[in-house]
Amino acid sequence: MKEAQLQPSPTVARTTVALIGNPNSGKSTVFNLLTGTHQTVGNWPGVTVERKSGLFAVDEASVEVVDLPGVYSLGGGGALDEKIARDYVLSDEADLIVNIVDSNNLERQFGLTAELCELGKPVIILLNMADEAEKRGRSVDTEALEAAIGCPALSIVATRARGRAELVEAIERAIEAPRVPRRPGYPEAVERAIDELVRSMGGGSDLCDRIAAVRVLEGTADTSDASAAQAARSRVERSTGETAVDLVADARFGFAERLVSSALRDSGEKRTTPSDRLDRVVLNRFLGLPIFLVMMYLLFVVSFAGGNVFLDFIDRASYALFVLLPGALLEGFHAPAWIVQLVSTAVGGAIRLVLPFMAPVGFTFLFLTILEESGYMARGTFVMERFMRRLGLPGKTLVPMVIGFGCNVPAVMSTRSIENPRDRLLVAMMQPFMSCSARLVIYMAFAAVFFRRDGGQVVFGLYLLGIVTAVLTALLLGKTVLKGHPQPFILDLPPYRVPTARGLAISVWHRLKIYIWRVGRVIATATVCIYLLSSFAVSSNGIRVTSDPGKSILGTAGRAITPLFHPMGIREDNWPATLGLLTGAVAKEIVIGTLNGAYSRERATALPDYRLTELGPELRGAVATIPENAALLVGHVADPLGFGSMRSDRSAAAYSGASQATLRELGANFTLAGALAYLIFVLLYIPCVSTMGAIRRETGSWRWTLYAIAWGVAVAYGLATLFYQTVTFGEHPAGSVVWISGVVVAMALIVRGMALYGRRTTTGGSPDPESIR
Amino acid sequence: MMHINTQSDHFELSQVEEGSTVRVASLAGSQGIKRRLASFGVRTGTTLRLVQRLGSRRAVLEIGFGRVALGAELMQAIRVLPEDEA
Repeated sequence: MKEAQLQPSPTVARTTVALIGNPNSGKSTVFNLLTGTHQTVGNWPGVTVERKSGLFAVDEASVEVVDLPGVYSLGGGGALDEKIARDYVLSDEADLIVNIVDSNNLERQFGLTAELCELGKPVIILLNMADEAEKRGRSVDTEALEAAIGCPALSIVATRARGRAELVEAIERAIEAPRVPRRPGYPEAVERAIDELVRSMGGGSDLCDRIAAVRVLEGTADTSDASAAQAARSRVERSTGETAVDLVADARFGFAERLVSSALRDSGEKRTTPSDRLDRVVLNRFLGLPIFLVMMYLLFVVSFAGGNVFLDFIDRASYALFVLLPGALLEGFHAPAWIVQLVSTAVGGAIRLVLPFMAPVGFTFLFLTILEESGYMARGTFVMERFMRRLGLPGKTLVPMVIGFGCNVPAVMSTRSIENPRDRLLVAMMQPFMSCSARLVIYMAFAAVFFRRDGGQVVFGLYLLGIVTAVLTALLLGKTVLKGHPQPFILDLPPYRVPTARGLAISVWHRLKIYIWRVGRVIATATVCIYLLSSFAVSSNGIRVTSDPGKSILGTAGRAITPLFHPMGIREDNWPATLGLLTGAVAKEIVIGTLNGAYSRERATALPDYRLTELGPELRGAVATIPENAALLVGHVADPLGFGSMRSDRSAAAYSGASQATLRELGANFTLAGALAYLIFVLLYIPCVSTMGAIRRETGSWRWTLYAIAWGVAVAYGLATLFYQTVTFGEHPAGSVVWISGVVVAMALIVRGMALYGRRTTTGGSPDPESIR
Repeated sequence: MMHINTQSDHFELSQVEEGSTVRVASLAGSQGIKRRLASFGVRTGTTLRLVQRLGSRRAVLEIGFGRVALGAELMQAIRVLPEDEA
């Protein structure tokens, strides 16, 4: 038994294979090819970045594949995601490295290969996109490459699933008989310096010590003995006349060049590809911006018009499955009325309220994935770069903002592709103000009641307000607490590719799965809490059940804080509105759900009679809505948010998920100005819990997370109050003057405070280390 | 074919005409900037083609078969020589 532990049998031991390569070399496609959909998405323990790992079987042993973010070099610099990939590779966790190389660009991609060859680990070189390279008249002689590098090399086309069997076989062989590639050789002076450094760092002949020494020598890692490192560098420079950094880089570059010349068979002719011709148009100085704006418009059209096709289907199907079915079953078993109400009406009703938004959210994810995978997102970023820079924002600000329209969580996460920490923080702080799809639910319900005719303009105005607030937030931070220059802009433009259906499906499902899980869990928990808190009251005799939600714990709490929102037009008896804001901090999706619940509890309607026999017709009816709505699709292209159909109560209510009665309550409880102020507050006030979590993870700082919350609340309160008091000025001029001047003074004080803080702190004011000036 | 505004034999990439192939003569800026450029394939001695300009100060470069978009600051940091003189 003991021996078995010391020498694990090959069938039990799990081999870890790391996929590593430059960004856009197709790692994730290879990953999906190897693991199919049997994969998990997780976070690094304690650190900020996502990795994907999955399993596949070789003979009886299972092999763990780790998909790492793209990395250009194991040296320093680069974005946070690059650092994670680098740290993983250097951490010695992987047993085998599969280096994925874009066959179109060997000259550059072999730079990383040269670095990987120094690690002393078995490597497989995977030449991806062999078909694209062939079209351009270049092919790679894998046998010649194998002979030059000393480890296996093979060509595949991952997007077409060409070469999977060969890859699995190569991995299998590499596990049985590992082959370590040749190392790039350094000039003698450098080798001597490496040996000296290894000794001074207390290392031995271990390869890891050698790598550490090389990294210290080239200045990409630190050592406790800085003087020894400096001495080693000086000696190299004295004896060769060149810096150690340059000599190491030259040796790797020479190694990479030899690999290229041994393996590349290039016909020598430069062919203009469709990709080149497309760039002529897409990046044209006059057409670039209009094309980008059309793309953004299409993002909305596809998301909402496409989503509309399935909205009613999911709505009715989830009513059948989450409300009707449990209700009928519970009533069939004569369960007490409160259980039926809790499970079916409250929880089931809440799920039904939110689940239909899976359709527009799914389509948003689909369109974003198409933009990313086709290569357009990189072009759009470049087109907008100058505009962003003029605003004083980092060039790569755009992509997260666009993603933010779908959901703020992936938007915050996507900031990790920004290299400079200051720029990254600045862009992350903008994201909570981007109006995500969850907030649209709330706009829809209010638009149905208050702005039937100009719903489109109101919602557009709110989106715009979000963008403006985001930009102003970044500018304010950039001029005060986070002083500095945005990093110089450089970006890869991958060749255009037609995304494969399989790749899209996997990628969209990945994102959607997280959304559904998150929403499901949050909604169910929050609804149960609201239900319970609105059913019990605290009195001097202890806790008792109450039928008047206004007197319940929830109602009492709601009433207590409602006066705070008086300046923005929430009347004291409208405590459900305040309650909606409290629950909305968990997830914006449930604001309307809370209003729905609280208003309906106030009405105390009788329990409906759920019949199991209605299940079949309801599901059939749900399916029938798909072709019906698809027929209406054409009309949606001109009116993507569907406001044309909002003229009727029913469809608008169906879209927002609020019941007719709730819409009437909204109309009775809010004034027009109050409703608009409420929407402004909802748009800006607080990142939802998941976004807070993402900000915490990505910034690694509680202080910045708290700042995002406090700043959001301050801006929302200020603007909503300013709006309401200005619009209703005639009704109470004296009060309005006090409130308006109060808000202006408070805002001025906050800005002044940030400016003072920025002047005091040295970190924010230090010059950007990567700046060229 | 190329505008050479300065007396020195090498000039800024921002002065190169669309479609020209040039060789990188030197890189200005910090070690970090140089390392970043190198990871995108831009090193002293690299041959590259300025494929397309966006306005007067930004451009798309072709290095090997790869394409890189470059902002105004880095365009000024890269000094080049005409390919035939290098």
